[in-house]
Amino acid sequence: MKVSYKWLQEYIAKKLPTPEKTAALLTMHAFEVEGIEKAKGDAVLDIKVLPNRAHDCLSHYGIARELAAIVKTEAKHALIKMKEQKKVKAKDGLKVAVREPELCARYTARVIYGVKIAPSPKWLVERLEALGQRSINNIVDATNYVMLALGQPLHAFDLDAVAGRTITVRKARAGETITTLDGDALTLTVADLVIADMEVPLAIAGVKGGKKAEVTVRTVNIALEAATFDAATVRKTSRRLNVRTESSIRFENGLSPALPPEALDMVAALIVALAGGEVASGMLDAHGKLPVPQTALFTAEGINKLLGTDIAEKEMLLTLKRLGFTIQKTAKGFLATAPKERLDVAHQADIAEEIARMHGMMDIASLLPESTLIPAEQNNSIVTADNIRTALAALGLSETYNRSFIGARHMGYFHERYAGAAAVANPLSDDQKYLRPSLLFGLLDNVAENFKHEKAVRLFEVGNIFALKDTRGVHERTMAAGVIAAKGKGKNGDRALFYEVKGIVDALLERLGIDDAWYDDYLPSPEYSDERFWHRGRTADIKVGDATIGAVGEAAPALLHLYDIHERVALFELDRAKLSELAQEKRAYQPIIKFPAIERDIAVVVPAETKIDRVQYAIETAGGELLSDSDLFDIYEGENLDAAQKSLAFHCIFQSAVRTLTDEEVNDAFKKITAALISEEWDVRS
Amino acid sequence: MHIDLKQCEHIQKEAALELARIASREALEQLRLKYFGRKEGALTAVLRSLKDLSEEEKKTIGRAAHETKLYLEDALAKKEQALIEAELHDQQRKEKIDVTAPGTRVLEGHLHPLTQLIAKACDIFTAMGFAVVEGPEAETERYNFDALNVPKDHPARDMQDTFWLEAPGMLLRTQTSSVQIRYMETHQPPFRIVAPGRVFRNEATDATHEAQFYQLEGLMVGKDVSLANAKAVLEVFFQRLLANKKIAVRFRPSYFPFTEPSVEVDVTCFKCFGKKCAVCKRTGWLEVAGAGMVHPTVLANVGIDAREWQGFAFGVGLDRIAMVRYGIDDIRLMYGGDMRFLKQF
Repeated sequence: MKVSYKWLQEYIAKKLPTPEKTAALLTMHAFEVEGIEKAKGDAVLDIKVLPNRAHDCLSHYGIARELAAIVKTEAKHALIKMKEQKKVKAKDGLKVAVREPELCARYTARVIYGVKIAPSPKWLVERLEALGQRSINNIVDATNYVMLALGQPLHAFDLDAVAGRTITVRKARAGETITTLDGDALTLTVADLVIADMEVPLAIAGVKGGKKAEVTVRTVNIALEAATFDAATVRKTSRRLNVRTESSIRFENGLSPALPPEALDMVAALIVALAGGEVASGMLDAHGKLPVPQTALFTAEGINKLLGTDIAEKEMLLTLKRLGFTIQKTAKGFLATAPKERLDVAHQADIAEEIARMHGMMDIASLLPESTLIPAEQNNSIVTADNIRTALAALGLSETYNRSFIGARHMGYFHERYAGAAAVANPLSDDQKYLRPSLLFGLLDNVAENFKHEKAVRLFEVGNIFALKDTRGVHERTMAAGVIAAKGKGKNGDRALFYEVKGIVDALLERLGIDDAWYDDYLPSPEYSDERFWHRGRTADIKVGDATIGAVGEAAPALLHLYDIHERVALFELDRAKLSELAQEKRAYQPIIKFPAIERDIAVVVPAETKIDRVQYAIETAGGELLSDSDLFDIYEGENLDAAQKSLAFHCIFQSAVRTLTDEEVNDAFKKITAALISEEWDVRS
Repeated sequence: MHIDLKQCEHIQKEAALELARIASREALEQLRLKYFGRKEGALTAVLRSLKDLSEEEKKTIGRAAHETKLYLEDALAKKEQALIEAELHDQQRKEKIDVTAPGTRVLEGHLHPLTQLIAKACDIFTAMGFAVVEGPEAETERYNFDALNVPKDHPARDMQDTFWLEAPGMLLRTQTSSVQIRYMETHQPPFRIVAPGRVFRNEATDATHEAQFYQLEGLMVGKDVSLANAKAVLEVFFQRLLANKKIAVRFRPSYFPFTEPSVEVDVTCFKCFGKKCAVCKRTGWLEVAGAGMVHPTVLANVGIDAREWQGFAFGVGLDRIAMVRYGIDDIRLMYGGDMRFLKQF
């Protein structure tokens, strides 16, 4: 809010420091001053009043009271005396009926007869314009001036345009329309509150006045309104109609019903001074039970305990008095009663804030807490995430943080499966309409972008993904995913990229202490592997036991096309929760075998579709306990072989932990392996 | 063959001369054969003929011959060692390479700057006894707002532009404070926790604004945990995080619905260390966190008696710290996956 330095001074008897110093004081004790603008003989402070104090401090008097307390004095109201014309009674000229007392806690009105509409005097025009307000005429300007002074919005109606001279505060009828002072025709709903005459709405309560009873040059008699409208109602209406005004901003913060009479008297007096006329006697005042000023019970010890300070009780009481509180001593401590317009006082903590601010937040000394020495409990999920990150970085992948959103276009590619994706109701753009159902989307984006300047891309991310759970909630999981791609790599169907990424997954799992993972032909499952995502021939489910913990493979060609990537891309995605569950921190040391190992190689030609896993299983089963390890070192297809065949070569390592093996023993075991492979009708060439 | 003392002297003298001229191990071997050769070796012949001498001569000549043998063996060994060294030296000279040529690139991955920052922050807090906890990014309105004393239909909600989800009552958390509620609901005080994580604000993106960023939430509740304690804990945290004991913390009044009193937390600008620069807008301070005493209503909402327990909470903006620390001028780089950026950390 823009605040005039000169105006603040009018409320404070003590000479204020320079505008810059005043701004600094306000920033350190009350509200942040975001800027100072020099105006003619004045300075305008741009003060950021936060929602907890908007109800009383979007006003010069409110700010002045804070400032006065900061400079250790009290603010004084600059009231103008108002004179009523005893013979004329307000209630004879205007009737007020509040049909919605829940939404309008108080409605006060006054009537002034015989005003002369004219431009405002220079001082008023200058003051309003300095604060960013447009001068309209002496009546409207007076209402705005008082609003800026006290924070209570006001409205003036042309009394002669009020049909039936009756003002009714009621809900709008469905489809009812109003033309605002700006000339906009708006359609209302039953959720809106209006000020109506006998026929139509004259104003949208707390939001905007209407054309019908506008104060114009022809206006002679006026009705003045000062009311307390329901904050949420004003807020909803203002948002729906997209009309935000100085009035609606103040109402939506919730104003005190104690304010209207004072504001109404002040504006009436000002109008008589500016435009002449006679104020009819009596204030029309419709209200239910008015709230009493807010209170909070406190003790000096309680406040010092909360703040960790040693502020004297005397200082506390003086500070509160300067802020307009009244204090009563009770058996349980002090009872502080807030000024009538303040609505933010209920707890001792609220009083502590007032004391701390005025004492100086920056003067609170640091004090290390005294606490029992209990080491924090380790969080396994976080430890696993850290271990994943360290492992993948050690394996040559760099970490990226991608955005949690993906666009409608990419979602569209998966429309069938991902109809269940969680959508944002108010996205920034169509590109950010959905919450990512997988980390792989972001990684593919990274590949496409990085290929503009990099030859190879190796990235990973640990982050959260989202899916709709039934129709009610959102299912969120933390995943670890990675991608590798290099320009020219994987030409002519080269499979090296797949095995490289698989090697990365192997190494990652080993680092996490998961040693019983295996790979299965992938089956599209809603959980891990959308069939449109993965390359059908080059993707595996990563399993432990029967449970799938992730997937590894190449991206589907059509998907790469969608991302405009013209290279092979290999990816993996693993579920952090499952990794965390399976990860073993404990490792058992295996004694290093002292007896020599004997290595024999074997090559076997098998049908092309035979799985290497199966061949290796046959070797290891037949090799018995003397075979300590078997290692695939070559896969060959092509010349000298049928098209439907491949040749596999393994190192077979024989070793015993308790003795040196003899040649005969090794030959014997090796023969058993050969025999086993032949019995599968495979062609052994060794 | 008859030998005398002169012969031994002669052999020794001649061998020394020859040895001095030798330049290769082959020539050295030839020389060794010349004196020690089984058949024609000059010294071998002398030693062999010793047996023909009288006892008297054996004493003098035999001793001289033996000394000559030891001398020659030693001289040959020394020469051989010298030749080997010269050879190795020569080899290394020939193998000289250009050491200024670049080293072979090792494939190494890099951790994201925020990961590194979060790890460091968590280490510091863990050492102070704070447990690290997590919470979901897709939250319910209750955990993100209601339980945190942010009323419905109130401008306090506008302080954080929210992404709402189509799933009813759900949103993307606007602050990690939601984790506080989840934790307090399921644990008994006293407690000390920190919760790093991703938060979201519905704001247009530019060099200084992202719709997503990272916060570190902190919460400490005990019998007498005070605002002054919050200041000390934050001071220690920032001093350790930035490895500078001169970093100070300053509180300014503020408002968050879930704390009372509420403060903005400024720290000594860690770009200029208080000298006043463009980054801190010539104030010497950077606003990096919000903090306050947990609001009694928030405690009541999770069933904690505010007359018995009190404590502080804070939320630190991590992106800004990383940006100032590393001199990153565009927040979008943090979430862009550009390897030219990522490889620098």
